[in-house]
Amino acid sequence: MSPQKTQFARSQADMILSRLKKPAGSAAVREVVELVESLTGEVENALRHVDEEIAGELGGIAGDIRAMREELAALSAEAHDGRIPEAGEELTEVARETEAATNTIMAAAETILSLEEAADSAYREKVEAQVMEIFQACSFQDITGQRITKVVTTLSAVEERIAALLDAIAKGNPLPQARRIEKDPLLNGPHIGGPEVSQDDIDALFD
Amino acid sequence: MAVDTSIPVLVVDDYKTMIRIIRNLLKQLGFNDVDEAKDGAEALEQMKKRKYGLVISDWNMEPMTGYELLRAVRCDESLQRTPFIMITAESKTENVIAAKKAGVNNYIVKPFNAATLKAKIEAVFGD
Repeated sequence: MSPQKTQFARSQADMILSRLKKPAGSAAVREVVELVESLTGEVENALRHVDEEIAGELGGIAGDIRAMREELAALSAEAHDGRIPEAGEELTEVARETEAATNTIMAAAETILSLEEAADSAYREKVEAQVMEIFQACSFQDITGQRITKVVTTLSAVEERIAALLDAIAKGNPLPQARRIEKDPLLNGPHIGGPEVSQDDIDALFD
Repeated sequence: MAVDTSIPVLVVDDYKTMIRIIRNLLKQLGFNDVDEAKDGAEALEQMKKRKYGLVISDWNMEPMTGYELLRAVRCDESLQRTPFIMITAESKTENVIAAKKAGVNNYIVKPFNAATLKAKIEAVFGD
């Protein structure tokens, strides 16, 4: 019961009591006064109990709404932090790097094929140089693999949150605690658009 | 290359392809004694069994990263002098600085080429 309601009920009870007390002192009146006082207390207790139940229910609903809002905020944060748009950029990079590496491999292979067949050292040197080019170009698999892993991790987290939301809505269960992706600040994988710090700048730190 | 190419080298990377690439590049540079490990923990075990003249490690691996391996190696009295080169796609300034502070001898950012690997190995051995 709200303080205003309690105060109103008490003032009403006080008014009744004062009226009953006015005619002066028969035992019957005192009994009525005691009865009214007792009833007033019980009614107040009963109303307080009902209020607590309602407050508990409302608190539960508010908790669910808060949890749902946190889930949605976390999903929204994924989008606004740039992780979801970044996932698209990562895949674009995968396509670009794969194409570049494929062209390098094909060019190296074509160079080998076009070399004149001679078993001299110059021929071998040229073949080896081109084979080295092929090896280096094949390193794209490592870079693209790391980019794809980042995308998959992000999409899995989004999928997990959506599933939790849908499940909670369908079953009317309380929502699980929103979970952020724990991330080591030193584990970022390949940078979009190539290394953030060039090899020359890194070399300068080691000179 | 005047570096002693007979030294045993340990290559640590969770991508088989990358290990194969580095192994081939090392072979071209004259290093034929090359072992491999798929993460920091496995590398550390191998380093306790065999004395390597050079470790070339990736950063981003599970369960033990190359950075954690580097720190573990530098804290181990019997391993701390082992030359250590990081080859990684982690190219943020804080990564390079953290690795340098932890005692890395050189840092190569992926993608890299044979010339860069050769130059860094030579730099590590003061050639």
